[in-house]
Amino acid sequence: MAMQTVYLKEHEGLVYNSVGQLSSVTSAPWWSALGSQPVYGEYCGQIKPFSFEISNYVDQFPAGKQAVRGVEQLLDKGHTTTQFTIFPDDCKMSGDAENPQATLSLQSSLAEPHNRFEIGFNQPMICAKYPYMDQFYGLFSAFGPQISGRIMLPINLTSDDGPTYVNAKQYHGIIRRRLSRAKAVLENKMIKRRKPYMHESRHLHALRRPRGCGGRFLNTKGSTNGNGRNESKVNKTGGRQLQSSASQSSEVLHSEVGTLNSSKETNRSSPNISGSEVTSMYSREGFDGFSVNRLGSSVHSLVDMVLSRPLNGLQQYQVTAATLKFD
Amino acid sequence: MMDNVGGSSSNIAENSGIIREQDRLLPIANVGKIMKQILPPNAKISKESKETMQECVSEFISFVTSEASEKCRKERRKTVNGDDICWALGSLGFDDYAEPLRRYLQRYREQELDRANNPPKRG
Repeated sequence: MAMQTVYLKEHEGLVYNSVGQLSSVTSAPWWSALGSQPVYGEYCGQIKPFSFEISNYVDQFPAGKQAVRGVEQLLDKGHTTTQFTIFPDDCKMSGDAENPQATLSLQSSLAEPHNRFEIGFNQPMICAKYPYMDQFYGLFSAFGPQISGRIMLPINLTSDDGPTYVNAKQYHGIIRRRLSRAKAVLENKMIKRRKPYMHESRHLHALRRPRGCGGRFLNTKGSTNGNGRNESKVNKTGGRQLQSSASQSSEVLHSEVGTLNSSKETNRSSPNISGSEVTSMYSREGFDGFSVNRLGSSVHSLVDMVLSRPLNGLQQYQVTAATLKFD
Repeated sequence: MMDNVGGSSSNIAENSGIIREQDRLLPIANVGKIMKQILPPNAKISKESKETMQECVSEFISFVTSEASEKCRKERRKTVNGDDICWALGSLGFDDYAEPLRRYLQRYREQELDRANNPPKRG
């Protein structure tokens, strides 16, 4: 049996026949003759056998294996061509003794059902490589919707969607990755659900850390920046350098302490001018009914305000320090 | 440092060769930082977005690397180098990425040569 091989160069898109010819017209190969109108019916006859070949592929498996090995040898040599061997046994022209016979086989190194592979692989190639696609648009629609340069993936059992078309260049890579992931899942080597944390000891430490309102951790750099802004604001009002607390504290508590200190300084320096400043500052801070003369009661109200919320050790220490400062 | 609070079950899991989450995926904090670079400063990224992007980029790395590894297997080479990654991107249809990566690789190699020729002074 004479084997007829067709080389398709993917980058150039050039299709040429190096061995014999399929069509009855001996002067031109069958696909180059498609440009003329009279051979339309003949081309129909040529296209139909592809579906018949799939059923015969199993019978001719040894020949197909040989062709696959040849393809692998080509790929090992670094060639950029893809080899197709066409065997139109069921073609209507098979009765003609002059027509050489060939076996249809495709490049397939995967452990996949070959029929599904060929159905998805074969048709887009014809669409992509044929130069006069527009003239035979109705003919191609007989094979279903075709996307140029796309190959249909085998149906994925996990997803209920229909067939998915992917870039032809990525088809083998996707199949390879699917096999790798399936193998990993089969060996229970991949943890499917995501763990909430990675290390138990770090998780326990995070549970023990003190948290402020809103659930954020205390003693972080974010609250220090907030305190810095409040301190600068208080310094502008008083005109004197405030003694900042050595330890980091919560934003609300520190601003209240700063406010009390600045009110005392305002009394000493200039009572006439600072009256409006104190009023505007108090309204800005949101202290309603607060007056300078009630320093003692203000301390008690501050303590009551702070004690209404749950405190951690550091906050309790700060409240004690604030109370001692005014005794 | 491996935390063994789980006891023997953790050791058994390690011995059986389970692929851990931190071995299969990129660190989620790094993914979040890279995503934040392209966004405006006040943008926020949800945890779900970072996890989805984590899965996508990790699978893409495996996809390209397996293509390069297949080429090395056919050429009977054991080391996957930068040229193989550039070739894999081109063969998978990511030509727009292959060319910038090739230029990056060239510049990286030039820097390596400069570092080798001019070692930093000591003492």
